[in-house]
Amino acid sequence: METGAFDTIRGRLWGGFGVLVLLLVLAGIVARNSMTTIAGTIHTTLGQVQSEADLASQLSARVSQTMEAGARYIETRDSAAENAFRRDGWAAHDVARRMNANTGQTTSELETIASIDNALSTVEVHYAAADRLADLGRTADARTEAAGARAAVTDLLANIERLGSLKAERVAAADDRLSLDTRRKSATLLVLIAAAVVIGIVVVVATISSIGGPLDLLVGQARRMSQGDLGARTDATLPGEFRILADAMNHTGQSLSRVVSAAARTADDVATSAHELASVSEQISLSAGQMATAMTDVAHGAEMQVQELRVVDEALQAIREAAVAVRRASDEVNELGHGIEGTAESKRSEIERAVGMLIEVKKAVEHAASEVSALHSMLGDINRFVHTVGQIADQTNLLALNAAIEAARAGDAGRGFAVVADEVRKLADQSQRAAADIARLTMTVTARATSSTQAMELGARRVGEVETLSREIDQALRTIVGAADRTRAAALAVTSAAESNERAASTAAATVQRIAQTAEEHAAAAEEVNASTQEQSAACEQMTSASGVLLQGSTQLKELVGGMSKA
Amino acid sequence: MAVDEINATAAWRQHPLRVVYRDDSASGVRAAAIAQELVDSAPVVAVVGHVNSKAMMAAARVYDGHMAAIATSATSPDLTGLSRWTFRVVSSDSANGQAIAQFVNQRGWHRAAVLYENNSYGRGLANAFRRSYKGEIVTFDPVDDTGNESFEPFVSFFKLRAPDVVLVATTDPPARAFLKEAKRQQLAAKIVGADGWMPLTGDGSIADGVFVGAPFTATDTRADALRFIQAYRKRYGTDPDGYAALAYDATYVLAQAIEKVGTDRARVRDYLASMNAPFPGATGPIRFGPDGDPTGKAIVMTQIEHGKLDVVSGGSAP
Repeated sequence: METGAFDTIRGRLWGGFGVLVLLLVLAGIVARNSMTTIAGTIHTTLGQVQSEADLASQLSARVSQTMEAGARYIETRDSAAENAFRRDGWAAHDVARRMNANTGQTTSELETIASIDNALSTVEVHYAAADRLADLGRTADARTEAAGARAAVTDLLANIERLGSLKAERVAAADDRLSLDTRRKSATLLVLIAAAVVIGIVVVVATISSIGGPLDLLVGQARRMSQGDLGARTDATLPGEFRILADAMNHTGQSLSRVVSAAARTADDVATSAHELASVSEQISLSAGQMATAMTDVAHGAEMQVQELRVVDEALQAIREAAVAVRRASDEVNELGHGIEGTAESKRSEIERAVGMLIEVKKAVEHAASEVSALHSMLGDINRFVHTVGQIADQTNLLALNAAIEAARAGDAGRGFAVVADEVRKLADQSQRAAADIARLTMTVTARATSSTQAMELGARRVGEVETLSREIDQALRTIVGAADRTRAAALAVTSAAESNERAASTAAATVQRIAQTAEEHAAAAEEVNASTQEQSAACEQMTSASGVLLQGSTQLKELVGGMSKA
Repeated sequence: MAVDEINATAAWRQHPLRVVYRDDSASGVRAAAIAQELVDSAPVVAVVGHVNSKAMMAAARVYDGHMAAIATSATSPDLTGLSRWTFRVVSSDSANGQAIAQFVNQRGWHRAAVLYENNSYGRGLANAFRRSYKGEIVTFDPVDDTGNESFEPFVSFFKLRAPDVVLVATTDPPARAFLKEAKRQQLAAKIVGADGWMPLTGDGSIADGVFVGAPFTATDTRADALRFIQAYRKRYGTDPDGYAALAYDATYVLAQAIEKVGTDRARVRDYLASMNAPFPGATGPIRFGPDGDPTGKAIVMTQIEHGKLDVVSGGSAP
C-alpha cells in the first residue's frame, strides 16, 4: 500500500491544524496591519486637517481684524488703529504663506490660498491709499477709496469660504477612503476566518471517523490474544498508524507462537543438561579436592626452596665481601708500585745530570793536558835559544879578551879601546849568567809541566770510571721502574678480577633473591589455588543444587507450554 | 548670447549646449507646471531661472530632489534655504534692503517714507530696509503691483510731511506711475528704488536723478563686466540691464558645472553646492552658500543719469 503524507492520522492532523494556524496568523497580521495603517492615516489626516483648520481660522481672523483696523483709522485717524492695520495685514500674509507651504494640497486649494493673499493685498492697498487721503483731510475721498476695497473684500470672504469647503471636501474624501479601506480589510478578514473554521471542522470529523473503526478491530484482536488465542489476526484495510499497529500485533502473535514451541523444546533440553551438569559438577568437586592436596605440597616445597636460597645468598654475601678486601689490597699495591716508579725516575734523572757534569770535567782536563804538552814543546825551543845566547856570550867574551890584548899592545892609544873591551866582556858575562838562569828556570818549568800532565791523565781516567759507574746505576734504576710498572699492572689486573668477582656475586645474590621471591609467590599462588579449589568445590555443590532447581523448572515450563494452543 | 558664446568654444563644439525656453508668465501655478514638465524630460540637465520670486517659490518645491535650478533675479528672502537644489545669482531682498538702508543711513537722510509692492518681493525688501534703517519711518504703505493705482494721495501726503527720502520697493510699473506723479507734483524728497527698477533705466524723462540699488550696471568698469557689456552692445546695439547680466551669469555657471561633471543632474547640483573658486561673472564673483544664495554679493548703489546707471558713493560695492 502506498503511504502518502495524508494517509496517516498524524499527517492529516499536522496538515489540517497547520493550515488552520496559518490562516489565523494571516488573519492576525492582516488585522494588525489594517489597524496600524488606518490609525496612521486617521492620525495624519486629523493632524493635517487640524493644522489647516487652525491656519484657516487664523487667516480669516487676521483678515477681518485688518479690515476692521483699516476702516477704523479712516474714521478716527488713531495711530493704534494704523499699527493694528499693518500688523494684522502682515500676520495674515504670513499665515497665507504658511498655508501655501503645507504639502499635499490640491491645485484648487493652492489657487484659493493665492487668491486670498492677492485679495488681501488689494484690500490693504485700498485702505493704505484711503488712510493717506484721510491724513490729507479728504475724508470723503478716503471713504470712496475704502469702498473700492469692497469688491476685493467680497472676493476675499468668498475665497475663505471656498477654502473651508475645499478642506471639508478633502476631509470627507479622506473619510470615504478610510471607510472603504476598512470595509475591504474587514471583508478579507472574514473570508480568512471562515476558511479557518471550515478547515477546522473538516479536520475534526475526518480524525474521529478515521480512528473509531480500526480501534474496535484492534481491541477485538488484543482481547483474543490475551485469552491465549495466538492465531488471531486483523487483515482489514486501515489508515496509516492503525495499519502499522495491526501489523505489529499480527507479528506479535506469530512471534509468540514461535516462542511457545521453542520454549517447550528448550525445557526438554534444559532438563537433560541439568542432569549432566550435576554429574559433571561432582567430578569437578572431586578433582578439586585432589588438586588442593597437590597444591599444598607445592606450597610446602616452595617454602623449603626459599630457605635453602637464603643460605646460598649469605654465602654469596661473604664472597662479595672477600672480593672487596682483595680489591682494596691490590689498590694499595698499585699505589706502592706507583710510588717506587716515581722515586726511581727522579733518581735516574739526577744521575744523568751528574754524568753530564763529569763528562764536562773530563773534557776540561783533557784540554788542560793538551795545553801543558804544548807548553812542554815550547820549553824545548827556549832551551835551544838560551843555548844560542850562551854561545854568543862566550864568543863575545873571547872577542873582548882579544880586544884587550890588542889595546894593551897599542899602548896609550888603545887605552880607551881597552876600557870599551872590558865593558863588552862584562856584558858578555852578564848575558852568560842570564842564559844560565833561564836554562835553570826552563828546567823547573819542564819538570812541573810533566808532573801536571801525569796528574791530569790520572784525573781523566778517574772521571771515566765514575761515568761507567753512573751508567750502571741508571741501568739498575731502569730495571726497578720496569719492575714497579709490572707490579702495578698485576695489581690492576687483580683489582678488575676482584671487581668482576664482586659483580658476579651481586648478580648471583640478586638472582637468588628473585628466585626466592618467585618461590614465595609460588607458595602464595599454590595457597590461592588451594583456596579457589575449595571455592570451586563449594560452587560445584551449588551447581548441583541449581541443576536440581533447573530440572524442577523445566518440568513446570513443559507443563505450562503444553497448556497454550499453537498457531 | 551666453549660449552662443559657450557653444563657440572648443569644449562644446561636439555636444553643443541646447536651451529649452519656457514662459512662466510670473505665475506660481504656471511655474510649477513648467517645472514638472522639465523634471520629467530626461535630456534636461538643469534650469536657468526662474526670473520672478513668486514663480521660483512654487517651482522650487517641484525641483527639490530632482534637478538643480539657478534663479536669475528672484530676490525674495523666502527662497533662502528653501531647497538644496535651488540657487540664485542675485543677492536676496534681505541683503538688498539692508544695503539700501546702509546707503540711506550714510547719506544722513533721517526721515524716510516707504512704499512697497504688496507681494512677497515688495514686503521682503521693505521689511529688510525697516530693520536696518536708523532714522524715522514716516509711512510704510503697501501699493498695487499693477501701476494702475493713483499715487496722488501718497505724493500729496509726502509733500505735506516732507520726508528726506522715499523708498519705492516695487517693480517697474508702479515705479513708473509713482515717478510720473512725483514729477507732476515736483516732490523734493530723494527717491530710491531697487533691482525691480531695472527696466526703468532708459526712461530718462522721469527717472533721471533717482537712486537705484542695482545688481548690475552698464557703467561697471571691472574687466569681467566690460567684456559682457561690450559683447552685448555689439550684438543688440543697446546697454544690457541687470536681468540680462544675471541670466548671462547663471547660464555660464551652469555651463561650467556641466563641463566639469557631465550631465548627471545630481552631480551638477553637488558641483554647484561646492564650487572651489567663485565664477568671475559679469555681475560679480559668483559662489553659492549652503542656503543657495550667492556669498559676498550685493547690489551696487547707482544714480540714473541720462538713461545710465552711474555708481554713487555711500553704497556697498560688489
